[in-house]
Amino acid sequence: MTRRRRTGSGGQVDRRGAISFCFDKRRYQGLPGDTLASALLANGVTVVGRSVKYHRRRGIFSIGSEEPNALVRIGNDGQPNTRATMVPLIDGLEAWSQNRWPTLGFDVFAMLGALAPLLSTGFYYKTFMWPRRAWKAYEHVIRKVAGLGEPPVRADPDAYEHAFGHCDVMVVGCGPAGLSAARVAADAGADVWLVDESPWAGGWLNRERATIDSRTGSEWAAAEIAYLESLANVRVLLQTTAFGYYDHNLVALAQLPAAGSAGRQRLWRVRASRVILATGAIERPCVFAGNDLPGVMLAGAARAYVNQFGVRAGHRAVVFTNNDSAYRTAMDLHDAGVTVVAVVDCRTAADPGVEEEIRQRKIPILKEHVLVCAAGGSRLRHVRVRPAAGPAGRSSRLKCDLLAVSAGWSPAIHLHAQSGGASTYDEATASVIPADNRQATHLAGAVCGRFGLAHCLDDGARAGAAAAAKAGFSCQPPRAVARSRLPGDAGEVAPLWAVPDSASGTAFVDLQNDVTGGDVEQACLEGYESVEHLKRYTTLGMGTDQGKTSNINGLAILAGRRGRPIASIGTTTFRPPYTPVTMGAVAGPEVRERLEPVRRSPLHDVHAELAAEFDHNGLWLRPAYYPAAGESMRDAVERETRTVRTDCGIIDVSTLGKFEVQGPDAARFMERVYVNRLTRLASGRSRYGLMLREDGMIFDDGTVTRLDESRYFLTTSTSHAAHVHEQLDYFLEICCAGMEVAVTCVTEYWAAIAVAGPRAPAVLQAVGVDCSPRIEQLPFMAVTTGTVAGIPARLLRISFSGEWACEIYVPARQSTHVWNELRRHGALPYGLEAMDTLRIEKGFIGVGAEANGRTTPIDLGFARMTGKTERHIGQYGLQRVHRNAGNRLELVGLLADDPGAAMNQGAQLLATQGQRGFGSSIGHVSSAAYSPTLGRHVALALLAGGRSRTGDSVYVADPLRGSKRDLRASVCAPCFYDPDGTRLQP
Amino acid sequence: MHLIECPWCGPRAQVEFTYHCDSEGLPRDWESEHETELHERMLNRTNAIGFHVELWNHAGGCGSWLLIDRHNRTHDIRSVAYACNGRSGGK
Repeated sequence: MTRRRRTGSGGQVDRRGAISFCFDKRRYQGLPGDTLASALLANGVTVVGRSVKYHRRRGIFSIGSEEPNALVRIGNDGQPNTRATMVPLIDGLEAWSQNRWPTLGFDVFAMLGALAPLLSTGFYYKTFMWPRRAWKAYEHVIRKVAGLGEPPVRADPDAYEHAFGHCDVMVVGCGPAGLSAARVAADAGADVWLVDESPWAGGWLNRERATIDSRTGSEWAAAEIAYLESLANVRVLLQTTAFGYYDHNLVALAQLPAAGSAGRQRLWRVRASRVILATGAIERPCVFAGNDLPGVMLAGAARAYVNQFGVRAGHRAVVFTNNDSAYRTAMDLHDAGVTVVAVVDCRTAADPGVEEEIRQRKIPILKEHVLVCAAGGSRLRHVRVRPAAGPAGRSSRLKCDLLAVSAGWSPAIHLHAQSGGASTYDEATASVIPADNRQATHLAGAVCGRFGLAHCLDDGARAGAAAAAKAGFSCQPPRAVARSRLPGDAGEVAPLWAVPDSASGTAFVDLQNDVTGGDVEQACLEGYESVEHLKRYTTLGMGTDQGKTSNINGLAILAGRRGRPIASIGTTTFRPPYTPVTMGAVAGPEVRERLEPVRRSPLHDVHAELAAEFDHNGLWLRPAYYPAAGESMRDAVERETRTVRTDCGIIDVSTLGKFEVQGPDAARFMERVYVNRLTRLASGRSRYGLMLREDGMIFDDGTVTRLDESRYFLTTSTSHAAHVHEQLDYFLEICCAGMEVAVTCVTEYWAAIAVAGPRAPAVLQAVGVDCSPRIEQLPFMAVTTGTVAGIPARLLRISFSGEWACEIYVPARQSTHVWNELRRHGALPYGLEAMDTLRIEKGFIGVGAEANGRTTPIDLGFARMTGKTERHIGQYGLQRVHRNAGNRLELVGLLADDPGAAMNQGAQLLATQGQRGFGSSIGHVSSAAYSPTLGRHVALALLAGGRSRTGDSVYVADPLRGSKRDLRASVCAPCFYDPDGTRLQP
Repeated sequence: MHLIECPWCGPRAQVEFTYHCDSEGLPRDWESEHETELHERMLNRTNAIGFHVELWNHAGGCGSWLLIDRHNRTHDIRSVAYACNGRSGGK
């Protein structure tokens, strides 16, 4: 390319500066004020990527966030699918093209283009169905070819944060309408936020040769924005995309750091009293053969590159249009030194003003002509045109390297639609425009389908005043509206969606997803007549651009095919985000250790000193086991288990949910909450209790202790504590209205240590327990108060291990002393793993394992607890479940024939060996452990009709974990150790 | 995300609240409720499009139980009131 692309003057770039950047390893120069797209065009780079399906060469097509083609990766292994049109150029920028291998110039998969007739719509659904087994082979190849860009391999190096905001008026869009609205609202005293996705305020004012109040559009915008930024009640956020408009006027913003700064991406959630949408409109192309060639560009973009960046996108241009706005492209290109070959207009007449401007420049206008096709390779070479009414075959050739095409403007109603607003098809502008609002929204400017610059300024002022007034600010009458001029901005179009005889494999509707007009017609023929079906079958509008330049053309072709008006076809649903948002911004700072809060027991530091291995239990960190030097996990767990069975172990159970229930009606309340009969529970005694849900399933288990007539102390499982609290609260508030009861969560006030094992009474005596009766004489399931090692304590004689045990509750802050004293007198700590082994040996149920939300107390062998006649939660549900119980899963024990063979939690149970397939499972292993006490593996299981199968053999299958042979095991009672409970007694 | 006007705390974001159930799922009088009544309210709900009175808990705020009259498609909220018993009002 010998002729210069950059104009000698004009635009908003700094011609004295220079910025060096890289694209696909080649070094180029740009100017301050450029975007990556304008700099590439200035350097004559026409091909910037390959298309997703056919790997066709593609060039820069637009100037904004609607860009379907120019998607690049920024930085090596950096963010893929970044729009070159939205990247401000900075020194040292490295960008890479996508979807090509090995290079952009020579792409192996480009041969797919030749196969286009075979790769018709619905291709995947039709072709790869047969033979079924071969899918694995196909998939391998398809995965390599398919997809847009490549995800980075290394971890995201960027920083993100979440922020929240409130304002009176949120103005989305910083063009003439938005600026005008913001000024009026701000002058009325409202707190105004003004946001725009672009790095520059002014919107299309930067891209047109408009005049406002005898200044250029961009000068006017700069002055307005400077004024607004000087006000304390206005916040201007550029490079900030309002990507979602949610319930109750919540607007989500994605804010990029200023170009070149190492700031954080910020995701805002802003609640605005009123929202003004001044989101403008997006130009659309027309469907004809070869409309995807590099050099085919939206007419607005072609003049915008000249006007804003001083870049000629080509040297010989043809303009093809159905509306007046593209005449400005011809004027602006001509005035910048581009040879405009012709303006091809499908209409009979244009606005006389713009027509005259074109004639003055001696540019031929071909009225009532249409463009038949564009031709070329790595860039556009020529186009063919013919009279619109003429015969199909006869066309003439126009040589050009730039085709500026405009088929009208589609209002950017995305946010309006997301907010629940209605839309309607407008014949005058041949576009979908907003109808009724659903939320506290105002619309201003081109988004309403009112395109003139004067309209935009006027609309903005009116919307600004209305919004401020609704937000409670008294407004002066709107200022005298600025006098503005922009030729040919009325916005009326003669609908032209697809050139009639251009049904070719290269007449694209959706450039990003390679969907052609033919694909749309074929889908319609095959019966995909609804817009939503059409979208999913052809992938029209499903790219990262969400069909911003393509959806309306697809709808129109579909409507034409079905012989129905476009208005009756409807649109697909507009969903957030408006443009893609980095996942990191959505996650924000809540990653890794900040993903969720961590709760630590008051004894946490003691466990850490003992080098415990921690495990997560709900939000809590709890010791899993305490490995001695050189000890494996299995060794440690076996040692800890044996300690409890033969000596004395201690475990931190501070994480259990703890509640005090008090009041004159406490006993009545307890009776309703638990399935057990509790009225006869005497003061000073405890009981194991089950809470049900109304449907009869077990909700939680724990202990109920009656401290006195009107005061109870409850413990719940660690993981369910919060949920139990909510249930108790709900029940008290909604179901037992009028009861005088208070429920207080005391989980964090008490630390709790369970002391268990045959030597536990001796250790406690040595530590010094002062209580009555003496601790070793305290009966099983009794409670008393006293002191332990001088610290006031509540002592509960309950056991989760099957040994003599006692839970010591002490004030959280004094627990370390008690723990250390117990250790000093010979108690050895054990963790969750050993606790689990001990409970499985005893056949005690675990919440989540056996009480899995689908089992009743009767299923798990607690039938004796049930059956009380007083109304309690779950009473009717339980009756209903067991009225027609059938073959319910029941809790059993399992002993494998081979005592050394491990059974895994989740393994399935079968009646006969090797059975597979649906319906063959008769149950599953719910908990399993190696029992050091018995020297063999044991398991608890939920087995259909289990209790009547005692003594039978079942097969334990675990194919997912790679076990090849099903283990034979015999069904037994779910208790492997001390079934009579003699060891619990004093 | 909804903006819910808690009668105790003022307008607060939805994340502070927990949805509990539709008022159709609430007992008329739990103590004297018959089995069929329970199963009707638990299992046979109409779930019609329109305004529903729903039970919410301001779990991340004052803890009040609230009845919210909310449209299940448009999410418009007509009213927010304490659930019952006057108990929440004192919290």
